[in-house]
Amino acid sequence: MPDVTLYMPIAGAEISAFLLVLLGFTVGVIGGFFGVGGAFIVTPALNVFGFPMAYAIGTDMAHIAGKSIISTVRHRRLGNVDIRLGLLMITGTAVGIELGSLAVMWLEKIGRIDAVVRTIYVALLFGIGSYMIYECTGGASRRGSSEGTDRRPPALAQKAQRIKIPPIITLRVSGLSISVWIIFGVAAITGFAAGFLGVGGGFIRMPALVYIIGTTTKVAVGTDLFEVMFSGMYGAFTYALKGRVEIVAAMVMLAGAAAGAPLGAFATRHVKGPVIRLCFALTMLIAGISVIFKQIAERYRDAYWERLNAWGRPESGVIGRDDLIQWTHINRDAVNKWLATQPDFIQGAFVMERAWSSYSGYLMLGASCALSAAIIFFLARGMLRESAGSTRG
Amino acid sequence: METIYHWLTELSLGNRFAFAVVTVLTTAAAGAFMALVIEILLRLFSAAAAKTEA
Repeated sequence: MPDVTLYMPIAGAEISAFLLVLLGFTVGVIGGFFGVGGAFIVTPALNVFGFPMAYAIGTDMAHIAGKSIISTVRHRRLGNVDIRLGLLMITGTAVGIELGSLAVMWLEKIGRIDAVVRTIYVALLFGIGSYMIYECTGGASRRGSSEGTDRRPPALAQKAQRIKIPPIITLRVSGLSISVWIIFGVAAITGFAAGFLGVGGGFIRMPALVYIIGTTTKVAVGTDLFEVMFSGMYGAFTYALKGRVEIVAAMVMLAGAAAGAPLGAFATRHVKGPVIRLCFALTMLIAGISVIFKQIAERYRDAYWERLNAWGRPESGVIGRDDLIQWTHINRDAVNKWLATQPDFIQGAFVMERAWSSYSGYLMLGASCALSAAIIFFLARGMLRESAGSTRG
Repeated sequence: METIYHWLTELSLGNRFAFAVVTVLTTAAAGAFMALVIEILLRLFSAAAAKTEA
């Protein structure tokens, strides 16, 4: 298959157009199905493809902004979007994103961004994933929820709904009454995570809407996408203000997402809420493993970093750690020549670092391809059953 | 293409506010356009399916 390598003028990286479109498509399917932007897939994948972390985050934000418009329109038609709830969450999210992106810039200055972001990523991915699996399997049956439907709100949501700090708002689409402060609190915390981790916030907000606010899974998916649309745009704007968006890559991914997002949204019609949550939880765990692989790669990088730094800075003329890493990705010939003059343990560490980085990216890409294939299977099976039912009718 | 690349690079390095506005408008316009195309295609498909069923 002929492949087109695109040069990214702002991030200064080269990347395959096919990979970008594939990434956009799979994340489009997954995002439309789970109600997330899919940054937990896109950010590490772009980072593996050679984007420095801050550019990977900013580019992903821009891609999320465009893609969530497509998914939200679809979910609105399916009656899954609670606009009132979504609008209420936007203010808290905006404040949270700004604080989160300020924290990223500060960490970038002191050169600890990759390690800190990845550590928090892993904790959140494993924490949320494990809790959702517990809730969808053992936890759900202990509460006696009938055949895994969404009718009874989770225990935490019932407690949150009992907190009657005025003003109290009635959400008709979600079918519940809750204090506005609870909604703002959830929005601010998830917004901070969005700005800090470079995600639309969906992978935290979708479960938060189900488990804390108490909406059904499908309304959580649709409403979250509505909110991701705004938080993605706000995030893209703030990252672009700092020059950290590669708009060409975002557009190419968006082309793939345009095909995938409606498929994911349609699939929610044919799958029960708990099954959506279970698939979501498994995705979180796989994403967590991928980030651990990346962290192992970082450990190997630390082994040779001092020597590379001493040689690379005067050679490249760049100052920041991320910039130097990026320079090594682009100037492979020069790096290989330097590497040939180094002792065996340095060469070994270099090879292992590249290998673990690749495992991380390929695991995420593979998992997202498998998951989007499963979602398309759910969709096809549901449509076939529906058409068989209408034929019998 | 190269002119666009050059212009984007200059913009991202020079006028960051304009770059941010261009980024948001471009992604929003692209997303809205694609959503519109998908809606039109779905309506065409469902109209065609209804016709076949009839």
